Parts: sequence; structure tokens; C-alpha cells
Amino acid sequence: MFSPFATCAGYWLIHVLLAAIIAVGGIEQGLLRRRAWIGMYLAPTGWLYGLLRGGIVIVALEGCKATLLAVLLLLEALLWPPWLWLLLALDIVVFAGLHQGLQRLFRRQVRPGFEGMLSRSVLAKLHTIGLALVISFGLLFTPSYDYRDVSLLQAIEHAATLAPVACAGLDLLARWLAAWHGAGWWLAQHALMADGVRPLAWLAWVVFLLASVAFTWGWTRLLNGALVDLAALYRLVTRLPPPPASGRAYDTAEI
Amino acid sequence: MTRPKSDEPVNIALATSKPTSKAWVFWLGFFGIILLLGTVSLYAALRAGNQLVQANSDSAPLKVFRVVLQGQPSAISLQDTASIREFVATHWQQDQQAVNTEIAKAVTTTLTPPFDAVLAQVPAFADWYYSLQGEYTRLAKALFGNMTGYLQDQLSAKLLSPAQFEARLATAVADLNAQAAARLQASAAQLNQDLQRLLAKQRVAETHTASPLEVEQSLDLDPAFAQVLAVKPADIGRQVFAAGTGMATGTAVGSGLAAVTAKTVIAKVAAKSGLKTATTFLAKGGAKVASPSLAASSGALLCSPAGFGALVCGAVAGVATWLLVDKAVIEVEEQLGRQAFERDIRTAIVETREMLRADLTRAYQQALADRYQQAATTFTELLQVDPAKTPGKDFVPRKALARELKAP
Repeated sequence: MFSPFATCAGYWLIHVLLAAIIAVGGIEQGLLRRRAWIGMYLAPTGWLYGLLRGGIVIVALEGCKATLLAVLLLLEALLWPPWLWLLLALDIVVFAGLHQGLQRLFRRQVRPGFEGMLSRSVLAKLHTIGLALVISFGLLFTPSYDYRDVSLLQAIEHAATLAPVACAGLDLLARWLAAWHGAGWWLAQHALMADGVRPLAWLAWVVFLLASVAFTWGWTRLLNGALVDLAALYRLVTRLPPPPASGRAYDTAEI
Repeated sequence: MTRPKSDEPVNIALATSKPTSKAWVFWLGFFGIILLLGTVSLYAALRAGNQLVQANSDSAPLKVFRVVLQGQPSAISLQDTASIREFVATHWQQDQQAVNTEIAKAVTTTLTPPFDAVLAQVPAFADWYYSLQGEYTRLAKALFGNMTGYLQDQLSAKLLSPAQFEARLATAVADLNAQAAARLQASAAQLNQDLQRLLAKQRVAETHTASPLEVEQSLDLDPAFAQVLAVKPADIGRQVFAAGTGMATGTAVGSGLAAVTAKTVIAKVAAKSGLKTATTFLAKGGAKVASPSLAASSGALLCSPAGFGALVCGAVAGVATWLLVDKAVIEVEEQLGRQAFERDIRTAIVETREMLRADLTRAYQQALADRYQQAATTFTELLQVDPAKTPGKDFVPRKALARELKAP
């Protein structure tokens, strides 16, 4: 069976694909924010205005963010339990449905052409929080490695062997990430079971599990990016008018 | 066939496939299954890739233990180290059981000659005992010294010394020490050979593994074997007598044990012969009181002169009568009691031998048990490795929390 995950090139290919999709979504949201900053808040004479106006900084920033999120998503995927894959598959449908619903809602509320972008902006936050809660709840019932009888070092050593990757660089990151998870679980299993935290034990566990599902951020960005209308994005990039000579801020009507 | 008129409306609902209200269900099913299959395929691809990477990985080294035996290092896997430890523990345990039986037999065999030699001297001692000379020296000691002490000296001189008991017993004990030490060394040598074979069988071939070997721990068994093989007979002797036997507590060497055993033999025999001495005195006293008429008549017949000569003659006759009566009584007593006397002495000697045999057997078994235990502990501690514990995937936060919160 051919598996792109068996080779380094396959990993990088998938990583680039993921990063590109996430970057598209990120750039769209970044440009949206840029328009607001440039149009309403920044003085045209300031250096920050000049920096953001070209859009290169936003693209570069979102590109870096997308690269990191793609790596996180890719390496975290190695540790996902099977039910999480099915949940995420279902989540695609749910996300698309919510996106449609929000778009309909915004169609009468926002200016034409922006309903998709704004619905994705709102959805990104709501979806990340909602999905993280659902996954954290699921993880409460999912068997994980029992590190209660081993030392922290042994737990880290064990966890670091769970997600080997065919690339030297990625493998190091994957091991580091898995070791980080292992250390987290070891600490949770030792500290959160102590007598002193009993009244808050459930809450503490939920907080810990929420912290351990940070990849939902990347996942939401991925779904966001997949739904971006590239033509609309292009228009968003190119329709920005030059700054007025008077130095006054943009009127929002011009944007 | 009639053509419709140009201004007549055409029923386009029949001509085109207008989407129905249920079309979205079809597309939901269509894309849903594609999404599901895509997810499963992606998951399978990821797992397959992961497994392939793990299978072909040369970065994860195989953790092994290096066991050094006869200077020859062998790389052994974690599981095999446990089986070797089990093998070594079983060897010492089983061999200790065998050696217990062997040492009991060896003690019996080794103690027999010295005591047989003593038993052989019993008739000679009885000859002295039932002699006029023996009788009168005992009487003299009873009158002017310590007859029991004298009797013990005589037992030592006539029973033990001719049999060279102390020397023979010391040799026997030294022989036992040597046998015990040799047995322990033979056991260690056997284990060494068996382990060499086992290691050769279980050795991880460094050239035939895909992963490099990472030596988790190095176990040098040679010093442990050297420690066991370095045991000397004197060490066993010290251990045996330090543990103390019922008879020989506080003695440190074989000769000391021999001296103590000799005293025990004498004490046992003397207890019986001392009783006989008292009865003999009573018997002889009665016989002599009953014989004045015999002495008077025989003295009158032999000593006819009167005066001082008659006095001397009477005294000589009295002494002669005394001796004759004594001689006769001793002979009668020998006839009546020698067999029982010798039997009592033999019984005392055999009892001493059995007591010593039991004590020595127990002491040697204990000494060897200590040695075996020490060896087993040394080896099992050496082979006691603590491989990294593999955590089980059975921690469910909800269950664990529920259990913990219920606990008082």
C-alpha cells in the first residue's frame, strides 16, 4: 500500500498543501483586519500604515503562522485516536453547514461580498472553542497511556517513541511534541489526582484537555481556508484604493 | 404526430431535470460517504506510513544488556535477561537441595573411620579395666586422688590415643571442609558452563539486527564467579564452627572439635564405668569380710613359727589372701559384666558419633545453604535489571477521577 506518510517527500507535500490552505484562510482574515486598521485606525503618516498597506507583511505573517499550524496539525494527527478522525470528518459537514447558515444570516446584515469572509471570521472562534470542548469531553473517556507508575523521564521517553516520522527534521519535532504531550499527561495524572485538587479535579482535567487540543485552532483555519473564495480574495487584495492625499483616514464607504 | 404550436407553453418540467426538494439528501449521502472514505483512507495511510517508518527505522536502537562471562561479552535482550536470572536462581536452588543430601552422606562416611578405630580399642580398655593392676591403680586414685579424673585419663590413653582419634577426626573434618568447598566450586563451574551455552543461544547477533544495539547496562559475571570459586576449605570450616554445633560451640578448627568430642566420649563412658566401680567396691568388700576363716586356716598351715616371724607370715598370708580374693572377684566380675561393660562403652561411643554426625550435618548444610544463598543473591542482584516500564494504554480520565473522588 502506498502511503505518502512513509516518505519524507510525502510529508512535506502534505504539509505544503495544508499550509497553503491554512494560509489562504489566514490571509483573507488578515487582509480583512488590515482594511479595518488602515481604513479606520492608522494615520497615513505613520510607519505602521506604510508597513501594512502593501499587504506583504500580512501575507508573510499569515504564511509563517500557516506553516506552524500545518506542522502542528500534521504531527498531532499522528497521535489522534480513531474516533477523532471520524469526528473531524463529521465536523467538515457541520462546519460547512454552519458556514452556509452564517452566510445567509450575514447576507442582509453586511455589505455585499463580505458575508463569506465575516461568517468565516465569526465561525473560526466559535468553531474552535466548540470543537475543543467536544474533543476534550471525548478525551475524558478515551484510554490513554498510564504514566502513574513511571517516572517523568520514563514517560517522556515512552511518549517520544509513539510518533516516528520519516523525516529527520520533522521526526525531531514529532518526538518533541509527543514528549510534550507525555510530560503533560504524566503531570496531569500525578498532580491532578492529588488530594488537594479534588474539588476542582474535573475542572482541572477539562482545562488540561482543552490545552492539549490546541490543534483545533489549526483545524478550523484549515476548514476556513478550504472555503475561501479565491476570486473574492483577489478582489480584496486589489480593490484597496490609494490613500487620500489629504492624509485623512479612509471613509469606510470607500473600502 | 402533432407538433405543438409555437405559442403553446412547453412543459419544461418534463424536459429538464429540475432539482427536487430531496436532492440535498442525495448529495449529503454522496459527499458524506466520500468524506468518510477519504477520512478512513487518510487515517489508514497515516498509520501505514507510521508503521513502515517504525519497521524501517534505524534511529530507534535496540536496548540490550551486555553480559560478560569468561571475558566474553554477549548482548542479551531485556526478556532474555529475565530468563537468565530465573535460570541462575533455579540452579542454585536445585543444587542446594542436592548438596544437602550429599553432605549428609559425606559426614556419615567421613566420621565412620575415626570412631571405628576407637571402637576397636574397647577390648583393650576392658582388658586393663578387668586387671588387678587396673583395679589397684583405681583404688589408689580413689584413696589419694581423683579416681574419676584418672579414669578419664585412662580412657583417653587406652581408648582414644591408640586409635589416634583426635588426629583422625581433625583429618575427617578437614576432609569435609575440602569436600564442601569443592562441591560449591563444582556447582559454580557447572553454572558457568551452562550459562556460556545459554548466552551463546540467546545472544543477540549484532550483525543481524536492523537496529543498532544500545547497551542499557553491562553485567560482568566473572567477579561473581571468582568470588564463589575463591572459597577455601578453611572458610567453610570457620563458617561451620562459627555457626556452632551442639558439641563444638566455640571451637574453631577440626582439632578443637576432636578434643571436645574426645571429652564427650570419655564423659559418657566414665559415667557408666564410674557406676561399675562403686558396685565393684561393694562386692569386693563383702567378699573380703566373708574370708577371715579362710585366711586364718591357710595362715596357720603356712606359718607355724611363733613370735615376730609369725606376725610377718600372717601379714603376708593376709595380703596373699586379699590379692587372691581380689583376683578371683575380678575374674568373676569380668565373666559376669565385661560384655555389658564393653557394650556400654560402645554405645556411648556410637551415641557420641551420632550426635556429632547430626551436629556436623546440620552445621555443614547450614554453612553451604548460606554460601548458596549468598551466591544466588549475588547473581540475581547482578542480573536484576530494571528495564524501562512500558505503560499500558488503560488510563481513562473519567474512570480514574471517579475512583479517586469516591475514595475517602
